[in-house]
Amino acid sequence: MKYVFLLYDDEDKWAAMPESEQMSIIGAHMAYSEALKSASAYIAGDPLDHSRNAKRVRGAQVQGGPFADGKEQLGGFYMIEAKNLDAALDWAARCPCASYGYVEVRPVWNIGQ
Amino acid sequence: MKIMLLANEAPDDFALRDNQEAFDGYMGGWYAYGESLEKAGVFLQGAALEPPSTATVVSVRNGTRKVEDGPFPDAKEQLGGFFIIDVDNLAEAAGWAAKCPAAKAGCVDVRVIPDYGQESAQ
Repeated sequence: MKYVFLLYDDEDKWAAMPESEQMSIIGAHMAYSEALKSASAYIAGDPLDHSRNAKRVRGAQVQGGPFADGKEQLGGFYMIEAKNLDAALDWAARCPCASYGYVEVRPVWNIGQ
Repeated sequence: MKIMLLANEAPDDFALRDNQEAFDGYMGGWYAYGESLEKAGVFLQGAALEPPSTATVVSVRNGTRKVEDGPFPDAKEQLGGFFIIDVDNLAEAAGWAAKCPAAKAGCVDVRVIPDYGQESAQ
């Protein structure tokens, strides 16, 4: 089964971090990606830029970010293959973001493909 | 530039998935949208997600794992799926977002994927 991990963290805290600290977190994500790949669990993953550089489109309205949804914002995602939800939760707990933010685990909707 | 389009669906949109009569129309809109992205040569990747009621939130503090029912955050509109596209600029991305079925009753977030030299989605 495929699962998407939605990585929520405090993006302002990230932006204010010294570069050395950012590099160490990026390094942790690279190691995590490698671990997923070694287990043939990796499908995709990307970081997201600060939400101030984002747009929100609602009908014909376009609003500039950041969006006042709370302190934590979506900062990236992974898509993985796991045999069941328990296995996916194990991977989620190993994700670096679980230690500095929250990882939302969502099953991919398999629409008969 | 690489963009992630996040389709935040309204509760009524999620309800259409369980409505036999409306299901084909609902899915048809998404298939047509996906096809138009592919036809324009901007499509890189996409996935539909099971509804927010299936979400689990995992965090680890001081080595202790906490597993809670999701979604996170607890908002009215929730992520129903996403697309990753390759476009020239943010305005073009916003144009694609406006055509996404979720933009009618919900909203679509246009997020920039920074290039840290990571592998691309494709």
